[in-house]
Amino acid sequence: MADELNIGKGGGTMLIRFGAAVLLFWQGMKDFGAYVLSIFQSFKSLKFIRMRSINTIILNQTRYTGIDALPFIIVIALLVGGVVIIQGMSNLPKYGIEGYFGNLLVIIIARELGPLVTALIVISRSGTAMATEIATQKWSREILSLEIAGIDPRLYIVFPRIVASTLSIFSLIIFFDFVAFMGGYIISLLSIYIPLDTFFTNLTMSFSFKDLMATIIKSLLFGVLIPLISCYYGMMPRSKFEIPIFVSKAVSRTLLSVVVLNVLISVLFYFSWLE
Amino acid sequence: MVPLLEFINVSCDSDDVLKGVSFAMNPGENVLFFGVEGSGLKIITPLILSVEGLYDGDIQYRGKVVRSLDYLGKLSYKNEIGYVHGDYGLISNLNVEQNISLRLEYYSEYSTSDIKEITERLMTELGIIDKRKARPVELTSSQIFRTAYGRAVAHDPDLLIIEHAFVGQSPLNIRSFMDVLKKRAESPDKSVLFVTYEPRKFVDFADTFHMLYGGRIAFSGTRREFLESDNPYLVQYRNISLQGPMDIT
Repeated sequence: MADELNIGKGGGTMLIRFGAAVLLFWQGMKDFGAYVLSIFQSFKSLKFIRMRSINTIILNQTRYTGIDALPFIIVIALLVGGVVIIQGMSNLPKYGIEGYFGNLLVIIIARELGPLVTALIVISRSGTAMATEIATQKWSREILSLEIAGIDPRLYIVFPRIVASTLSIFSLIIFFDFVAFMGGYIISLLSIYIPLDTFFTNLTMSFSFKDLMATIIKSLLFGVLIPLISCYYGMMPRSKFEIPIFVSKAVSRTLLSVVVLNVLISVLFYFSWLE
Repeated sequence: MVPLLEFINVSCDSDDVLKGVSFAMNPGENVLFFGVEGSGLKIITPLILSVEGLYDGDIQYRGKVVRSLDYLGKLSYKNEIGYVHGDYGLISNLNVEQNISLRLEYYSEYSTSDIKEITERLMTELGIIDKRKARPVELTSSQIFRTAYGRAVAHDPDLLIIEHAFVGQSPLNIRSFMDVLKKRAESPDKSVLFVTYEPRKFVDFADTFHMLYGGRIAFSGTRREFLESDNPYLVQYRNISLQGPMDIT
């Protein structure tokens, strides 16, 4: 009987814990929703401000998130492109489907890996930097001093980063795809020969308008989501002690959101029942 | 005359407590708030600057109820006040010139040439013109303070709030700054509100003194009254004594 009671208690505790986790998640979503709404609300003051003050931040952030990330993107795109092309060219013929080589490249590199790997690189470089910078600014009362001066931090800090990230991610994905195809082709020549015209004809034939749209939509959504979540958690710490906790949360939540979003977009775009 | 700033029976239970505090500050008047830790001093500026929004009673600025202001009204209200705090909060990735001109650059009411002129005049007046391209990390504490002051007054606000601003400053290094502050405090259409633990430092600047204790005003008076009153709370504070009506922990 006692054992049964214990099981009951344990089950009850688990239920309470599960309920608490659901409530916590719901509250977190509500807070995040309120934060997103407050960013929209901050647009009201756009007509009274000078865009020049924000443009400088957009330029600096674009340089850091976009241009400075280029060497990293190029190296990873080369390696990823090379591996995919080598694997494809050596394995597809075994199943007699080498004719689908172009399709495979578009599916793996352009549709999935390009946007996802680019987003992961941007999260690891810029997402962490944003969250840490904002958390430190909050701790040193820089954010408060902006608020007190009548400068909305959401418009002055978050909005420029969203614009810069969106521009950067979109451009980086194009770079990634281009380098992965071109560089991958060159690397693959070390182990396997494919005529250049065959390679590119196959590739361009496989590209559709839908692929282009999916890439654009992914880049836009990732570009908005990464700074949005990073800045949200960057604004959270109330003490120096909490800075690493919230920076870590910023990175893990952004990663999870990007992967889930990537899957959702792929499902929406490529499931046959939607065509 | 419509007061510049007025607290009407303001109560608040936040980091610090206020219990029914009322005072009015007229245009051109300089007011000083002081008190011990936990007296309610900490919550005065967050309430004025709308950082703390949960309170009873009313706070009015030029006769307008601050609580009733909408999003743009609140931004515009905050833009009318200058604020310097002991933590300064200079933007670390901006240099001295950019920090001072930040608010002017952000709002579109000033032309580029106006911004340049105002910023240069302020940097010269405050003795930091040679540091114009230096970032906060490269500045001494008095230069940081001067930059923060320059940023607070760049838009020439009618109300300037100076809260615990001289903490950790060498008296000699801020000596020349005191003349700048005095000039502002003597201006008939500009007001300064000081919040400090050291009221004697500002005795020559303030016209009215309010002492807080336990969330209430324990003493209010003029400069002469501040110096001569036998109010037991004030006497204990002036004498830095542990004996008296205030329970000091």
